[in-house]
Amino acid sequence: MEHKNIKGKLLLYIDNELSQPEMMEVKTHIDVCADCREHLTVISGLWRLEKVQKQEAPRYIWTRLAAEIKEYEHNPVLFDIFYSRKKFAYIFQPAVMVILVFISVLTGYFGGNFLSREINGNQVISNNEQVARVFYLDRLETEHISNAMTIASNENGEEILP
Amino acid sequence: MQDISDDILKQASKGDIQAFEEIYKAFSGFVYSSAFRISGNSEDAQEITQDVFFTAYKSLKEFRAESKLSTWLYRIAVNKALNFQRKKKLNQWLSLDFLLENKPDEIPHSPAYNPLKELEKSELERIVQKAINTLPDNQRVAIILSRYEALPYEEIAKIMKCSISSVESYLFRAKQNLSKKLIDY
Repeated sequence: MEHKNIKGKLLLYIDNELSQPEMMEVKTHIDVCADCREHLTVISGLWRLEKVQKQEAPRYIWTRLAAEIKEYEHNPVLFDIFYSRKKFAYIFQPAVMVILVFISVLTGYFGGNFLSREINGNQVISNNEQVARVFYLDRLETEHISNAMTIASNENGEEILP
Repeated sequence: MQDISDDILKQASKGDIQAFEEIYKAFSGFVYSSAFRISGNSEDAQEITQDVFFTAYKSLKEFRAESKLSTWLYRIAVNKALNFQRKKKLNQWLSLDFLLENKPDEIPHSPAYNPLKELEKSELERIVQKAINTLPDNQRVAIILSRYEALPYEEIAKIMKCSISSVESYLFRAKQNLSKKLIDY
């Protein structure tokens, strides 16, 4: 626990930003703890790295910026409308997506029911009922084949494998 | 950082594009550099830099020289970079991109680049940069402006629109958090 506590203060220790008693506490611990001393060496290396040189912005940023300014100067009002539309796209995009999903679900629900009514002519049945009927007919057909096979097997005196 | 004469500033605020280019040349380096540090990659930093200067061009008439031009530009850069990152996170979340593995952050290198010599240094820098990227916004901005841009606390306070003691507090907490994040290295 003490090691973790000491390691958690090392950057402040390196920059001499701890209070005097805390600086003493860290120093005393580091003098006797090889693990924390090694960690201090690594952290110092990380922290005191030569600062990365300031970067030159790529030249083409100016080319793009100059073109943007030219476009803006050509018609500031139109440009601002277009620009704000671009900004609002962050809000509109998800909103349009949610609306589209909602419309798709509704279309699927009502469209499905409508088609089932059309197929069955005057007889009005729901989707679930139609599914149940198809399932029931399938079972009837299976049972019918199975019965026919049993009869054939009995007549010839041997089993007919499907 | 170069200084800009009042004449150039006046001309640029009237819409003179050549005068504005002088301002761009003088300050694009540090705007790009801080945008890069905050956003963590060069493509975003380029877009932020362009946006910062375009905003500056449009708002230069309102600049009253109460603070230095560099401080004003820094403030725009920091706000744009933080907003850009928030929007990007939101977009990634909406497009489910966050499920993909993140690209490792790039580290800019000096023009006299020696791959072998710089490899270890870049790796170490990447570790610190990654840890910095996980800090809360205020702490991150304070540490970037202080460590990489070497700005005095007073200027950082002006950029962040807070008191000097708040900057000191952000930096203290940032270093405390970074020490904890770097425990495993």
